[in-house]
Amino acid sequence: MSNRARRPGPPCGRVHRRAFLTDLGMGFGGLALGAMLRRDGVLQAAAPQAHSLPTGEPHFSPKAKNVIWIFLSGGYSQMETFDPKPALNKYAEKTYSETGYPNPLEDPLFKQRSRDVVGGDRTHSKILPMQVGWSRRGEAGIGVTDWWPHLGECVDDMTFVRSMYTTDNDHNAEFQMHNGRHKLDEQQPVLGSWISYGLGSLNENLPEFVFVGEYTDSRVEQNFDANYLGPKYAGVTLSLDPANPLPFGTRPEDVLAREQANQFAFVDRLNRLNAIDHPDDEPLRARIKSYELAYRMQMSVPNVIDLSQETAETHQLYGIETGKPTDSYGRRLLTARRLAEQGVRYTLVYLSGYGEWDSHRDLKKNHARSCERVDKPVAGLLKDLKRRGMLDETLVVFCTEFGRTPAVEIRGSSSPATGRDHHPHGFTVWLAGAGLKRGYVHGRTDELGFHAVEDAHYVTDLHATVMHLMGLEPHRLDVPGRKRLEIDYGTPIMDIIA
Amino acid sequence: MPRPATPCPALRIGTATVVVLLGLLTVPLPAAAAPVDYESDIKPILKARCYACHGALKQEGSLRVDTARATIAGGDSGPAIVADDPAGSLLLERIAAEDEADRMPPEGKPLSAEQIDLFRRWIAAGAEAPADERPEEDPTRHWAFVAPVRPAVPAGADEGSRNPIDAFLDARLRKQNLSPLPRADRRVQLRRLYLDLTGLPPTRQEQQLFLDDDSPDAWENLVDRLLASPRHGERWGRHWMDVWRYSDWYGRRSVPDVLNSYGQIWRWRDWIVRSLNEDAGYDRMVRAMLAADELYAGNDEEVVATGFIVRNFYRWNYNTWMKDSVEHTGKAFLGLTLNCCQCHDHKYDPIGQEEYFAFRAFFEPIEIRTDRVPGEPDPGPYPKYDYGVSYKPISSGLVRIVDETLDAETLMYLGGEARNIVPDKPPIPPAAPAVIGGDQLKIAPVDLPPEAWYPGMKAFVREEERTARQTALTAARGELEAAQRETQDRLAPLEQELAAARAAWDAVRPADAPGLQALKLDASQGRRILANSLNELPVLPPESELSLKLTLIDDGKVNFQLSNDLAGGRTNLYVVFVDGEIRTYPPQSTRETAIGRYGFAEGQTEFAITVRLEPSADRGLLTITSTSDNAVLVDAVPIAMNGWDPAADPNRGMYLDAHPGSIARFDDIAFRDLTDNSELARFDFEPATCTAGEDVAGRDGWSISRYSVAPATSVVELARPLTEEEQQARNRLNAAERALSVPRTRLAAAEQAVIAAEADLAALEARIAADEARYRHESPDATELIQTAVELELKANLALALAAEATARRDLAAAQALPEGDENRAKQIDAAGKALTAAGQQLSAARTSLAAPPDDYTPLSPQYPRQSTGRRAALARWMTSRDNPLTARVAVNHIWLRHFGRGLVETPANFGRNGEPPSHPELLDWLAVELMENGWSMKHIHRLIVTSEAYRRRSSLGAATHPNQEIDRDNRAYWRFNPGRMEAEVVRDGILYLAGSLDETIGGHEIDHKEGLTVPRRSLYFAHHGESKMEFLELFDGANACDCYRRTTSVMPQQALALSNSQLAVAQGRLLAGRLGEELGEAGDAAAFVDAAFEQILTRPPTHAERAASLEFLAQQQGLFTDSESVPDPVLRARENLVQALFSHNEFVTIR
Repeated sequence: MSNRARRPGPPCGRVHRRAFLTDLGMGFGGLALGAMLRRDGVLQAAAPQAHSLPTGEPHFSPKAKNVIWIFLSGGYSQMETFDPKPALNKYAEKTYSETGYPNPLEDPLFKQRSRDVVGGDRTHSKILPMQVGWSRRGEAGIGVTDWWPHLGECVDDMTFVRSMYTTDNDHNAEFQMHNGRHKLDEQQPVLGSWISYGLGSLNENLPEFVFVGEYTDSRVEQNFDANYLGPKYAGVTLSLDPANPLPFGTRPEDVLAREQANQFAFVDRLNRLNAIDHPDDEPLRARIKSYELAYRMQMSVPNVIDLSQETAETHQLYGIETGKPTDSYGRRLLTARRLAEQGVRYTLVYLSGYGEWDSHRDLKKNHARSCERVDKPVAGLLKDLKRRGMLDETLVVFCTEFGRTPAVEIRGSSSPATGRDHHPHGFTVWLAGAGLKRGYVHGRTDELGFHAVEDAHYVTDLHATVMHLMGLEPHRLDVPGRKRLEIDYGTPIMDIIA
Repeated sequence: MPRPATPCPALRIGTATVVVLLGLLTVPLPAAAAPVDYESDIKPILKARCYACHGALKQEGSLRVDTARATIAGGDSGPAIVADDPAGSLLLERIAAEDEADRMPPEGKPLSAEQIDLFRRWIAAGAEAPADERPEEDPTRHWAFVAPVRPAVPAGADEGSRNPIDAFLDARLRKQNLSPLPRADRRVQLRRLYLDLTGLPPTRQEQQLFLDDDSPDAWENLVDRLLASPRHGERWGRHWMDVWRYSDWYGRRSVPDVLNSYGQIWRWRDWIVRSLNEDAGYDRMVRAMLAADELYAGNDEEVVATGFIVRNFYRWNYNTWMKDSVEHTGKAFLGLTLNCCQCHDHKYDPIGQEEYFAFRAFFEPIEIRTDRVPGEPDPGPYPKYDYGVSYKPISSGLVRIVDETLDAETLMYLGGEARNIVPDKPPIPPAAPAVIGGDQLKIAPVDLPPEAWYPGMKAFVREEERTARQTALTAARGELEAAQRETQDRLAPLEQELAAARAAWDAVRPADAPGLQALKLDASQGRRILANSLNELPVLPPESELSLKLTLIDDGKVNFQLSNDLAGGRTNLYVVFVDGEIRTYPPQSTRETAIGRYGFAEGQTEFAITVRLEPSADRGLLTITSTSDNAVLVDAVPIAMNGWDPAADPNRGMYLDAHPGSIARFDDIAFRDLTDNSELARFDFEPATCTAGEDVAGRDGWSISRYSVAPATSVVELARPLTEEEQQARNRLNAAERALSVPRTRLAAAEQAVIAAEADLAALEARIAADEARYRHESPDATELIQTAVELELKANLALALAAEATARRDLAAAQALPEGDENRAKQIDAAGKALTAAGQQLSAARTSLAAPPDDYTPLSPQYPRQSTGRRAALARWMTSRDNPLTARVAVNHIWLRHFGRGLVETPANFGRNGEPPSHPELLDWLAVELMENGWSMKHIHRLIVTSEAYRRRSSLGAATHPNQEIDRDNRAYWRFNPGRMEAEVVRDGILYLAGSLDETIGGHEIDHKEGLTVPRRSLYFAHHGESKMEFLELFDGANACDCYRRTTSVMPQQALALSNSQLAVAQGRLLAGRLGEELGEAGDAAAFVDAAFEQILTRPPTHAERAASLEFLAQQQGLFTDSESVPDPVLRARENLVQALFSHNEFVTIR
């Protein structure tokens, strides 16, 4: 962590910051901006209660510096991805009770873990065989389906958690995957916001928490909503369009660069003049600095997303090639790597359309197509991080909101039964990189892939694991007046940590 | 050491609670050897973790630990502590217990080892505590639970005209030895007041007006003027929208699918703005929001106030709707965190879990209701939830609350989980918390006026219905006249030509007709399904027969069936030929079963099919003969009829279906009454009704079913080609038929339309008369009037159906008369055919109703219960009664908070024991009483506050420090005014206003928030909801639409980017620069422009240094463009830059 821009300081910063402020007075852009800057950013003129903000120092020695969180929306099938279940082929067309295994629908876990949201739990009991073949891959010999030819090459760098569960049986589980809360409960900040809040930036010229992806459904915004932590800690949507990468981050077309630079400098000058009349005005000082930062962000961001700086070989590695199905996701992931490289703490990469993996029908066709778009780019990211040595400090998480039923879903008599329904009871995510065991499988679902039966983890355990690797103790980030339940904190999955 | 646990989200005010200054919550660990101090080490732990159950609020096991004496005395299990004897102290044993079942406290994390050690050492050292230690105050005597009494205004140095607010504040200033700052500069005061009361900064002209006014009451006059401005209601409306959780509908906007809040809720927003502008009284507003449907029933202007409850609506979970209603009614109006009691008794306030459900019971009977409003289409009744159905937002009418389930019961559940209902516990009746007197409410059902439970009684509904029918009648009469005028001379020649053409055809007509033409379904590509609704078919006689001829040209899958639900496509008398197999449904089933075979390749391609129908046995007997070889393929096999009977249900018809790859010919489809062998219906596709080469769709009741797939066809074809002579005669006849049918059907349609319009108007008047008699006058004549209304309505329905049918025939004739090559012909024929089918169904329905008339006519709107439970009315009255200790205090605190940037109570949504105590309790009470005793006039309170000295003080120290800071750094005593930052809406609206662009239209449908940068309406009118909001506002900490009892304020880089680069800031900055230049005219040199720009944007002239810097900047920017072609006016461009820079100036967003 040698490249941290943050100054070590006393835990609540006051004395230190004041000393820093008295230094204010050099010209625009001439400051080495430190952590204090960011902290001033939330200074409240009339705040009624005192509460110490996180210092930006990790609570204990971190293993990871930044996170690339890859999300696939709609719920990929655990069986057809990273938790192959040969038993499904054996018992195809049979009902759960005909398999000889205990009927998972009658397991107390069925009701215990999930909360029915809408329309009732639909029961499906005729088993649908695996829609794709599988084999053991890597030295670790981990079972992966044939839809992942490239990721299969990386299993020795991956850590699978095959025993996730969540509590919402509908697609609000997607937002739950990010903020840890069932939709019917009071909502919370998302993981990326907590990390941004807890650790701040490694590069003051870039946002701390970035969202890379496209969506037509605005509910996706809940995945990077800071809720009560405030918009400052929300994910900043970075468009990969170099012409307009950041909200309001582009100079109007007919304004000259010099013209705007002068204008920023002039605002700075006026504010500094004003500061003479208001020597006690701390928000004013914060604003002066936020202007400098704004200007530099506007300059830095286009550079980060400029993929032309990468070699043709790297483009090829990520599957970036016009017309190829992997092109756009490859761009997102290569951008994520560049952001991590530049010190962005947390990049949420949305690697699907909203609900894309929701294969109630035609799972075979839909999953095959979606896998093809994802497989090579993600494998490319892992290989690229590894060869650059970045995999030792970057944590990659690959996840979805829930799994899919082992049994076939039947909707209406006319449509062929070729899909699987929502399944909160057991699903698979994987992680790779900083601080993790490699080529490792943690947890297990039952023979049919229904319940997470061994080392089951609610989604916040995944959050806690990420926080832990980042050196954060979630309880220490609490905000007064905002109650979090014990389940919101989760428990780190220590077994997967090296 | 952990922070004290907070068992309830006591206050949710966001990062406003976050400040760098102090780490108050980190209690330093005492050094290991230091003696333990009861007051500082032990008591805080007890208070945080134990008092809730063992204090003044509750004494579980008869134990209380709020004094050391009581702790030692112990409870049911004996002494909790034995001094000097940690091992013998039960308290220590319990807090250190390994077993979770024994361990105290039972909830939350166990005490830490360090904490337990503190107890051990404290006990070991003798468990010493101050001798005069007092127990916790009686929770029911908590200050906020006792009704406010007007305190005496403190006497001060300068009596007389002094504002009582100053008297209270000054008393404390004196006591603390604080000297208040002097009045702020007049311009600072002016800007502060404009922003505060209207949410808009003063323009230069407005500034001048005030600065020129040196009368002694200039300030008071300005205050009155701003309070009277319509902008005031918008400004404070937005504040109250925060508190009352205003939200436009959301859920799945992209679908769209309303899940939360509801369409048209903006009427509640407009009600808020209007009520504030009218100074309607806080009490009246609260009452209206909770129960306008009961208290102001029939008054639609007021009823929309129940949007407060509508806003909590959540379609997917009724309990969430109830939960949010309880929580936010409690927080917004009472400052009570009732939500804590959903799962358990309140940990701080004397409110039990059962009382939570009692409060919920006020809302239990409610449902959403949508009503029509004048001049807008009827939104129709509110659709109840149905899984899998998306509900688009309504876009007309109003949305409100209605008590629908008058006997709704509230059942108590445990653990906050609605599935855990406590068995055998009787339903809980409605009541508010007893501690504030809410258990004494008298709840009486409210009888609603007819207009309220039956909106169709409203005068405007009748008038609009009447006008619509009168308009229709006038139009119909006009069309009839036109049709008569335009056809009278044309009919005779056309009739003559038809007679001649028919004679000519008869002369050459081939001898082998009938049998000349047949229908060919060609699905070699696509699929064609023809439906016929069999409108003319009567009730089936006891024995009848259906017969048809089928020829397979290309074998594939071809079926014939009768459907018992043409619209839904349910199938009966199903016969399918598929790849050599004949299948059908056996009686009483819809299971496809093979009953025979045919040899297509062997030449069995033509079939005679008969079904002997036995409606009484609900079956048919199917016989199929191959006509080429007379082989009987199926012989009187019973098949399912499944209740098929065409006359009993208008929705029954017949289907012919050629699946992809098939070509088949149908002919001679006939229904025959076997008792007399008469034909009931016949389809032989002969020239009299059909023309060879034409698609049958749109003729004779045939239409294409929606499952058809192009380019398959259903064309009438000739069995043998006509001779040229025959063809010519045939063509002439066809042409003559068509030519005549156009004017004839037009005339018929026009005549029928007049009859229908007259009947419809008469029926409406009869329905209104009957409504009036039975509902308003409860007259004995009602029965007769109802009878008349029923009859007239039936007649009208029949006439309308006939008119619809006649119109469809007219349209069909017109379409068929189009030239064959017209590209719209097929489309119009198809549309007219469908309309004819629909009209046929309508006609059947009308005839069926005539045969068995209903008891009542159709009401003019939905009807709702005639009573309301009165539960919410009782709640609302109690809440706004003089005795309620909380409502007025909470209200004035919210008002104060928004004038001064902080509340007298810092936790505006929690006045309970876990909230912050008031900084000036007497002032709070005085203001609360003042509000109540002045008709709850909020403008009165605003006026009092903004005319106080405290409000007009300077905020700026003008120095790095001030002696007062040593005593009161946080300005709790109001020795200075608190500087603040504009709220998000003020930033946006202010830019628009100063540039002269603000559209001051008040109210209306919410505007898409994506238009926020270009549409110059005030910010509160843009869509604002939980799913997404205007990005510009969001960056400046716009309200959280789900929970915002106070705003947060942040400073972040994206704000700078928004002010520099947004379309809004750039365009408005340029506009303003141009406008200022025009105002200054010739005399406007650079210095004058700088002064004007500063004044307009920052409400003050520049300092010398600022002016110098600005002039330098202007010159610098101008220099960039001297040789530029793209910028023709470098002076203006530089000025635009200056204006934009000033919008980015800290002083613009700051309120000093």
